[in-house]
Amino acid sequence: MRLIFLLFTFLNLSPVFAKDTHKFAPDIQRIIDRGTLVVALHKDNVPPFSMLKQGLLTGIDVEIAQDIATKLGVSLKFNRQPKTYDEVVNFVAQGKADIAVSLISSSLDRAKYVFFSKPYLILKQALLINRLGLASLQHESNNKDIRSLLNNPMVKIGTMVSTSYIGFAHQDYPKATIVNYDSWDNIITDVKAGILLAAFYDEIAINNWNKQHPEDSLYLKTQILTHRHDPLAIAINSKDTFLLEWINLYISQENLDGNFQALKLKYF
Amino acid sequence: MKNITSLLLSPWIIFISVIIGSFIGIFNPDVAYTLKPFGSIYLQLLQMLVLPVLMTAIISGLGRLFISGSAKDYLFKVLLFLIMNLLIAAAIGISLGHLGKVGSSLGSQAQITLGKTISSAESNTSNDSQNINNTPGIYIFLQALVPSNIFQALVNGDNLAILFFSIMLGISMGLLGSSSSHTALDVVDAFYSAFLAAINWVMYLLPFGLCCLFASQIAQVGLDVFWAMSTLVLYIYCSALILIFIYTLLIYYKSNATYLQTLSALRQPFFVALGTASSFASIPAALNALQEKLEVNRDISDLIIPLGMTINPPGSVLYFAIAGTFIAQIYNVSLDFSQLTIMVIGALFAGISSASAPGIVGLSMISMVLIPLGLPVEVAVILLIAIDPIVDPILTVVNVLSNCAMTLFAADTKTSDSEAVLDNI
Repeated sequence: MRLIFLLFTFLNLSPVFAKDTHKFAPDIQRIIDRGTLVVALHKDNVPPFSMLKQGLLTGIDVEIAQDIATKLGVSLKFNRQPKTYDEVVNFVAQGKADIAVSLISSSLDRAKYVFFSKPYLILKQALLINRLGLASLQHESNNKDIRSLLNNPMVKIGTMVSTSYIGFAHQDYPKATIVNYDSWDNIITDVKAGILLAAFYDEIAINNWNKQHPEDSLYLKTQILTHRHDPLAIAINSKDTFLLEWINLYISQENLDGNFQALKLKYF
Repeated sequence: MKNITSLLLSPWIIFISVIIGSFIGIFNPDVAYTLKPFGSIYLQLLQMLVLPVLMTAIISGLGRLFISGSAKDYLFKVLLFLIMNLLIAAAIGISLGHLGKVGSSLGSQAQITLGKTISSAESNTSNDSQNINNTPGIYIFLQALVPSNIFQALVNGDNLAILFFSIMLGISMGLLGSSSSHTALDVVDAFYSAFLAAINWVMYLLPFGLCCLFASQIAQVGLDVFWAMSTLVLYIYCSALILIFIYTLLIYYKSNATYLQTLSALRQPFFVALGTASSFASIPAALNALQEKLEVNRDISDLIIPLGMTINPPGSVLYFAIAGTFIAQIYNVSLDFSQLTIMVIGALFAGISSASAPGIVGLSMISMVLIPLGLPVEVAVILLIAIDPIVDPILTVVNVLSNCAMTLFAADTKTSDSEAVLDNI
């Protein structure tokens, strides 16, 4: 298996030779003919997935995209126009990018119009909760379990517009009011002011916030939800069936070699 | 030899050893950690003697009081003092907390330090369900009070359960009134005197023990957290000193000694409480000071001092009251009169309950103050744990001196006739 893969990669590295003797699957051929892999990436950097280090773009998503391009034998080009995560996925669906490696959660809704690879990392969902609001809620309801406390008509939970978290929030807290925001900063401001009881997002966004604003831990409680997972996957156009298989193979091999785990250790 | 022994007990030597210990703790934590085992051994030595003293003191004290029939006179005075004392402690805590704006004056650097302390503490215990403080409350207190097996309680050192058992035994021995129970009381008495004599020897090592204990205690204080909460710590110390001053005045007023003599007499319990941060470990020193130096009636002090360490902890009440105010101010919650009343009562019960629960469990009793007011408990517990090593010693002094004052208030130094009664039998 590995031998075939290596051979495959070797052939990719010599496009002239390949063109003459071997006809690739059309979706892969398209990329190789172009010589670049176009990867959709959200316009904002989200450490440790995408960030600038000494002027260079790096991070988990950036390294994975680079590795895929190298293994396809082409150069890498990021399309950073998408302003929301839904837009990142749409770019792939519309063919403006070959794939998206951009902290994309593989949700059932999105899977209706793009392919998702196997997950390359699994994040946990998390909450930042106003401590005072939580304490008075606990006092009123005599309930200690946060999940059932938050599933309450009195509760307002904020999450980011055009992310899979809206779906997650409605699924987990059907009785609560889910408010969509286009700015993460505004969500936190409202949680601190007590307008929202909690902010709901992935552990990365919440840990990043805590790192940048350590003083907020006095007022906001971080709750990592170990029961809920947010699998990150690569989005692929629904026509690119070979590319999907190729990327799934790539992810399986990288997982077997422990490379994603090593990446996680490097950046977390 | 006599000179050396009196030198070891002199207030100056004790004071100097405390200062040396503090300096080692601040400037040379490594040496402080080397000294720690010696301090712990000294503490263990004291604790070894505390349980027998506690049991024998209560059994013989209560037995004699019941034989003389004067128990109910003291009971009323003790209750009166207790309630007034704890209410005053809570009131001082809340007033000084408001006066000093202990929670609303946090600087941004302080908020960052506290935020980091909280998030690192929470990430260590983070999981889906809440785990701190389950159902603390008066139920835990009652459960700790009644032992199902007294020998197990002795093995575990459950002070509250042992206290309860000793009270029962003391009362039943006193009420029996038979000659055999008098003999039994005399035996208990003999053991009690023997334990006290042993404690007197241990007291010669006090300067050395205190030096080690202070060094290790001060070395373990997290300085950044201390600075972040320095206003709170300062006001806790101020309120504690106010209470200590009131108690010394009360003791002076009720005893026949001058004020300076009173202070000198109280130095041993003061420094033992400060050095060990354990009210139970201070029982022997307190008994010694009251009986030998201030000539307080033995039976009453034997009973009230051990009993008071559990049911009369104004230091803890003060702590919970001021800490509750601190948390309310951090979250910008202003409290009206009825909420302040809830806080006073909550602090009172939390203080009494915390005496039965060691360490962190004791601190989590602050939930009795915070939960009725809808204030977050986890933050409070984490922050209280962080400053506990700094404030616990002075609060222990408050508890110990308050019990000395309560004893004098109940005893009035006049020799009771219980001994005479017993002698006549």
